[in-house]
Amino acid sequence: MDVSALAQRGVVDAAGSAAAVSRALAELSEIDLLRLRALARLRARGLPLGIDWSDLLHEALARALDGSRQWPHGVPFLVFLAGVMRSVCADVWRRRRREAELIAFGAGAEADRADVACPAADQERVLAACEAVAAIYRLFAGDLVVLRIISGLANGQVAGDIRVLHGLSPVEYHSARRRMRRALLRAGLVP
Amino acid sequence: MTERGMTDWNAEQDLAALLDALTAELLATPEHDVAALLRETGKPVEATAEAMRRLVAAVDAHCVAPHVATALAAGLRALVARSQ
Repeated sequence: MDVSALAQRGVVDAAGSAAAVSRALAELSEIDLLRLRALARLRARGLPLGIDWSDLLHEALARALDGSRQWPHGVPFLVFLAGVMRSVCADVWRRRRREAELIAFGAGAEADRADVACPAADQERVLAACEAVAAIYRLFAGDLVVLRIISGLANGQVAGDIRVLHGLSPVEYHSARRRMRRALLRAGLVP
Repeated sequence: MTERGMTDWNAEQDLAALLDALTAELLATPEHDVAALLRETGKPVEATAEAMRRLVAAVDAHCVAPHVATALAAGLRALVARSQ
């Protein structure tokens, strides 16, 4: 029985998932490859210095291909990969924090940690987040409507709320979303 | 930057919400719209897609270039060096 038949029955194991991932990667369209690149470039914003979008993409693909992250049945392939990249980012910062603590406190100094302000990784993460948020806002500099939408999204608001809050008509909102998507894709193509 | 006072600003939270929302935007854009938007950017679409295909094929063939762990170690060394 092939992988797709097994997938329909929800019984794909790590090896089966990896095989399905490999096949899906080979079948990605040109458009989806560029979308994947834009997703990786976007998600890599806010990562520590020295780790870029291609490192993130490599790691996400490696996890999907070795079966350590399994592709759930019914989830679109790029949605799955976007989720793996998100998870890799969280792991990078967790690891960074562990390493910073190891440098600051040593291997056997677990009990002392609560008394000392620091872990450098936390400060680095906040700084990286500030820079990343600023860079995202710069992508839309000069476009007040898009900036309002971005600000709403950052506050966890949904489209309807943002439209009402800023008095945007459906046409204005959708036109701004189109400009926003174009800017994201353009940023995803930059070498 | 947000409706909240700057002293309350949690950059990590804002970034996480932004990245999730913008990721959803990219994923929700229909293929024909992506194609049209890419044409509007005037960037070299075919060459970039080909480079991506090679990158993906290389990972698939287990020709994985710098693993995150390696890059992380390099970044950490740089951080330590800057702090000295």
